[in-house]
Amino acid sequence: MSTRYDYDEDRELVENAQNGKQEAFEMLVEKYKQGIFNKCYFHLPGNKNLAVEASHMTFIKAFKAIKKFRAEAAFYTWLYRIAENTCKDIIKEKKKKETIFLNEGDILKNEEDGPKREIFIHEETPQDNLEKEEISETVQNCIKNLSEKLRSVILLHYYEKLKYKDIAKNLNIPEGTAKKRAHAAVKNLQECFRKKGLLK
Amino acid sequence: MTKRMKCEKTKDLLVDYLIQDLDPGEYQRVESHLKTCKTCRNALEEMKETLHLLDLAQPPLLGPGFTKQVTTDIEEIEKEPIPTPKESLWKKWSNILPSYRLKPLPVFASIIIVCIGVFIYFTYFSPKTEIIPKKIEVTFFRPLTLKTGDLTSALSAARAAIHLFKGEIAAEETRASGVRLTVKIPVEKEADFLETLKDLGTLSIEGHYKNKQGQIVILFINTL
Repeated sequence: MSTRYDYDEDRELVENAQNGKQEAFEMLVEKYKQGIFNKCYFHLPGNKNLAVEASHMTFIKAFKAIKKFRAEAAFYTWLYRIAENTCKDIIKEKKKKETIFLNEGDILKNEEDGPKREIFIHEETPQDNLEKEEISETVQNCIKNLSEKLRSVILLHYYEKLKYKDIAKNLNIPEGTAKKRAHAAVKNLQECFRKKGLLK
Repeated sequence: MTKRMKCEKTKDLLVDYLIQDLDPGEYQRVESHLKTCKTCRNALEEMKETLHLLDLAQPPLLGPGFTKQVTTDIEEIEKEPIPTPKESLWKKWSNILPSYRLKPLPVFASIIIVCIGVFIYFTYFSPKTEIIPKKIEVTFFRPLTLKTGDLTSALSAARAAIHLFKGEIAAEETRASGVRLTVKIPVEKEADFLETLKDLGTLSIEGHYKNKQGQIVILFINTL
């Protein structure tokens, strides 16, 4: 699915949302939910429900703080940073919980221990094939291990199908930098895939 | 541009070539290079595999339920009462005195004016009060007493001594208890004069024996 991230349209929607028009904020949610979910999905690999929860929290935080948004950067950049912090907080919280479980001698639940919001996810092609799932997980980990700068570009460029000029606007960076980061990200991923035996 | 440089540049553009994010000029250059370069064709195959792997990790799509949930939660937030900001101490005091709704600037200005007034009053107009020393020294005047069995002889010997020490008799009073002499003696001769008086009878010194004028007062008492 291709999401068009229109910088000028955002300004109008943000302004309306700041003036209390809830439907304007809903439009922003609809527009960016997939991008933010993708970001959280690769930040919290192996836990779709937690990624949904993180995305949900991101939009709630954004709604509460929308009046403070000064539109100096693109709305997506701002939203992306909120998502980044939310995911970091979730990881911290998760680590704390795991420590408590360890202390209590409990069994760790590494997978799917987030709140259940599965109804929001469309599984278009359920991957019953174990091998495919394993490959997918390895790829996710390779993406997760990219630096934040490279990861954000590759997510927008590859999964969101954004052109470089739009990536540049949304991440507040020059177009040339967006291209360089995308190329570097692909090289790093190929190296990782080779190490994991996914590429020859 | 050398072939190696061309290869490097082409490899960088392979992703964009595959996802069709190249301008027509670049697209043309990559295509013509691929026709002549086997290394880059291999790199293109590897890139196709890379993108296929990325496809396998494609995140699932979020459905409309997500937006609905966010909207419901936002509506709940909207319904929540807006927390009143914590009242400052200043406002609390202002509320205690509602009829004098305090405003910081006029109040501070009034305080400064009052301070200046108090300073001026105490500096220029307040009645001068005496400074009371912490320690008051009180001296009691006690004339010298000379007890003698022969008053007449003692008096004449005393007069001779006064004359000898270049002093003078300021006053002489005869009382029931004896004779009181007020004598003026030069300060440097005082000690010798007192020694001489001791020879004339029993001299007792009980404190400050000089009057306000600095004269020595001697009371001659007849013991007989």
